[in-house]
Amino acid sequence: MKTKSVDRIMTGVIVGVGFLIIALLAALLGYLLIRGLGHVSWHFLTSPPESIRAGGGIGPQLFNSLFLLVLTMIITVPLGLGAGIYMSEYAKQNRLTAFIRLIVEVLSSFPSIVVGLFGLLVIVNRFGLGLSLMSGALALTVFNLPLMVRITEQALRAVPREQKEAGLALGLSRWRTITTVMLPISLPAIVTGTILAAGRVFGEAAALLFTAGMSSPRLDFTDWNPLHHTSPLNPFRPAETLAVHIWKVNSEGLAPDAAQIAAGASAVLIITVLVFNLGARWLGRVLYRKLTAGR
Amino acid sequence: MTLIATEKTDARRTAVQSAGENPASATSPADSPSAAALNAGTGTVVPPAPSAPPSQPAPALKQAPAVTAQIPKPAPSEPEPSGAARTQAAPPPAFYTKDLSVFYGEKQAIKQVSMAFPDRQVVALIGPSGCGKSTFLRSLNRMNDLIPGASIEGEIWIGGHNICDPKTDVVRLRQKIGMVWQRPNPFHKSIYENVAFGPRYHGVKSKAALDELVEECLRKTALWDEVKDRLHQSGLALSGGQQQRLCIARSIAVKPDILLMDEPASALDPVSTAKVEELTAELKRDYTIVIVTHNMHQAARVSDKTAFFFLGDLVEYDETNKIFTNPSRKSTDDYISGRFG
Ligand SMILES: Nc1ncnc2c1ncn2[C@@H]1O[C@H](COP(=O)(O)OP(=O)(O)OP(=O)(O)O)[C@@H](O)[C@H]1O
Ligand SMILES: [Mg+2]
Repeated sequence: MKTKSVDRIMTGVIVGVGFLIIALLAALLGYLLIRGLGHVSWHFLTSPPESIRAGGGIGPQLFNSLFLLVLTMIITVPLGLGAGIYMSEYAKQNRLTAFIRLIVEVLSSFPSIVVGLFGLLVIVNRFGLGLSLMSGALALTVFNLPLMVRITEQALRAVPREQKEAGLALGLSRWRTITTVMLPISLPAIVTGTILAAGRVFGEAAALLFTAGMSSPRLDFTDWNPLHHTSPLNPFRPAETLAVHIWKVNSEGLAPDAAQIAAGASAVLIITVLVFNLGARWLGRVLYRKLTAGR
Repeated sequence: MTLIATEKTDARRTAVQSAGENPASATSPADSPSAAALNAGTGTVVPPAPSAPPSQPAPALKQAPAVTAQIPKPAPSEPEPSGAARTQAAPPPAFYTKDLSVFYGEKQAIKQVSMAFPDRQVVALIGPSGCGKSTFLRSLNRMNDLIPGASIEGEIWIGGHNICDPKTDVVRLRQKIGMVWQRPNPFHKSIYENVAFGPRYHGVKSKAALDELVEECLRKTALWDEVKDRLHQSGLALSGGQQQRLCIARSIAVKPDILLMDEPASALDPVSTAKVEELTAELKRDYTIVIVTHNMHQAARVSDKTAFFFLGDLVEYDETNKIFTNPSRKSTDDYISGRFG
């Protein structure tokens, strides 16, 4: 009797907390979207910002955010996969690897403003990369790489030991067992984790203030040669991202519609991150089905 | 048949004795029968030439004199597999362990076990939980190496190679030793792919050859009729018993010589269990099988020889008949009759 009522009360509490969280999330999302979506239009998404007049857009910033994301992922995904595979499958479990693991944890939880300052001192000034997309991508790598390593390592560790042994028992080499038996099983988790990490990169502002910069040169969207100075694809140009733009407009925007622009940009940012999340789940499932059955 | 087998056995024994390669075996009276016992299994395979592997595991008897005390007369069941063995062009090599010890860190899980596995016979490993059956089985294809802290000492001879030698190519080795786990663990791939995966990796590229091989292996495991219409569905969608047979099909697809099975039927219902047992009897014609089981009836039904382990020791190893009707050691008797374990 008693356990039953305790059970019922606890269930009620848990369900209540669950609902509270969902309600909070919905309220937050609704608020941001209602406030911002009205301002979002094709024009807003594609035109460059105005500094003092109304009617500016977020075109270059949106592009910068996406491009920076791609750059960061090009750097971190291969490295993170490699290091994650190494940590989970090859590294001996000893003091040293435990220490590396600790550092990785610490790195990924570094305050991003500190990473930004570090980026300014080391990447921007010392290595002379200047305020540029590349500097921004490297700064983001500092906390994205550890995340990727951990995601990969955990996904591989979650593969049942018998699966790995079955591969090895067939006479497959260790590497082939990892790539053909274990990775397909862990890929959904890796892809989901990667895209969630991408969401964080996409929304990051503090680490980029001093590395990717707070301004964007006039971009010529007809020039796709990455070596040209005004080309959007040039990774060595300064680039203000969407999140940085929101911060800047909010704090020092002079345009009369600064508040609306910030709200609109926030809505775009949130929708993009949401799309990432949903896309991650979908892609994970599709990949899993593709890789594991049929052929 | 029987006669020939016996002759060969005798020939082996004299070969070993006259060669006198193992001085230890000359001194201890218990040794030569044991060498003969071990040879009884291997003798049908290895040509009875003096050049045969010299290091027969004579010291086996140390911990279990009772086992070795008796000279195995060719049991009625023996000539059959040995006959089958000789009809094959290249019979798979027999194998045996010599003073095999396995450690987890400091803890010794297997204590100097020496036993020979007769070619194309089923050997059952029995014993109470935690006595080291899985550890022993998993050492035979060096799978236990994967466990952090695990280490082995002693020798495992397979086809003239000591696979405990650090130079052993374990990847190649494992192709020759199939393995089946307690819980069915098909790959997260289609039924077809589960079987075709190994052979393709080892070089069977043509679609026709793969198709044929898949069908052959699925037929051998009596699964073909149940799955032939859905070869490209996930292997995970099968029932537990079907999955286990799929796993057996997968392991025989790479043409191993030896099959190791760790309680292959313990997670299955009686019907599936019966199928796996039938299959084991069937597969014995082509493979040397080592099977761990907690089911005494199963051991009695499927195996030719039975080994009783206790606390890491090989207590008794003999013909299954003998073990179940007239065991030499009291602890074996107690375990089999359910007085402990
Ligand atoms: N990974 C491991 N690390 C440390 N000790 C282990 C490990 N695996 C097994 N052992 C120990 O080795 C001994 C033998 O275990 P093993 O799994 O071989 O027993 P078993 O005979 O297969 O038992 P069961 O019938 O329950 O499967 C046990 O005492 C066990 O505690
Ligand atoms: Mg076991």
